[in-house]
Amino acid sequence: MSKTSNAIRKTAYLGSFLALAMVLSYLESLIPLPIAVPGIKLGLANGCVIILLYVFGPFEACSVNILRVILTSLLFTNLYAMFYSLAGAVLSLLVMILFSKSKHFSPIGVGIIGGLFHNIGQCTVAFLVTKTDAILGFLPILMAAGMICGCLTGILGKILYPKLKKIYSMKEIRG
Amino acid sequence: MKKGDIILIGIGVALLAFAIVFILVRPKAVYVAVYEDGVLMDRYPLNKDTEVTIRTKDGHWNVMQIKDGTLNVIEADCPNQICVNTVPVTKTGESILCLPHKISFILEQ
Ligand SMILES: [Zn+2]
Repeated sequence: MSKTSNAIRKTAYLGSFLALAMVLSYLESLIPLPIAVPGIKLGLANGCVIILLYVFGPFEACSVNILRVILTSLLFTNLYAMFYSLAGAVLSLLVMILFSKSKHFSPIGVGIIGGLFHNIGQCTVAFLVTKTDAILGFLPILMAAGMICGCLTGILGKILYPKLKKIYSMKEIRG
Repeated sequence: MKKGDIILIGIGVALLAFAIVFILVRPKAVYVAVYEDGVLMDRYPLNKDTEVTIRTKDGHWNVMQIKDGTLNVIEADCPNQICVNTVPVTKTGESILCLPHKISFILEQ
């Protein structure tokens, strides 16, 4: 199989993942959460990011996730939302990359740590923008909520990863 | 499931328990302090029902409502409407934030 067709296949695969992550982000934006911080959410799209992290690697996971935040903000919300959610997205991604390199964590642990740091990132933004410690009263519950949601996305990633990896490599054999 | 995962789940459960206790032991607040860009603008007692329009320096606004000792933001001209969608708050340390307007409503003793 030629190198070019491999690259095309990978691009198509990453493109479909980006579309899936965007759909998940959009579905999530329809569920209003009664919480005081912009960008706090269930993090369903993080499931996609975890899978990409394991199938391809940090670079692909980063590119797809950052594109997802930019595109969903432009399509469904606004620029404000983009800057606020980028902080959590980037921070959680960096920590997830680090933890996925370790032998001691499965995708579930990676999801938990990602959810935790996503919300820590969003709280930091709230702190910096309002210049008050208003968010402090919600910090413990937001951290716990991030870990619970992250655990669920991690489980999702763990279940889907072998299946999605198979689809990708199957195409390669057939080509 | 690996060893690290189980440790993280343990930390998560402990944190959740702490967060629930933290919420339950919080006393009822006495007044709401309104900050713009980190500067205290005004204080309003929670025992007096009222509706106030807070105006920011660059002409934007948030309408806050105090009713039966709870604070709620009922209307605002911010783009994301998160302050409006935040649940009403009533206990010390709780807050409603409007990041686009750099406004925070903090419940204090
Ligand atoms: Zn607002």
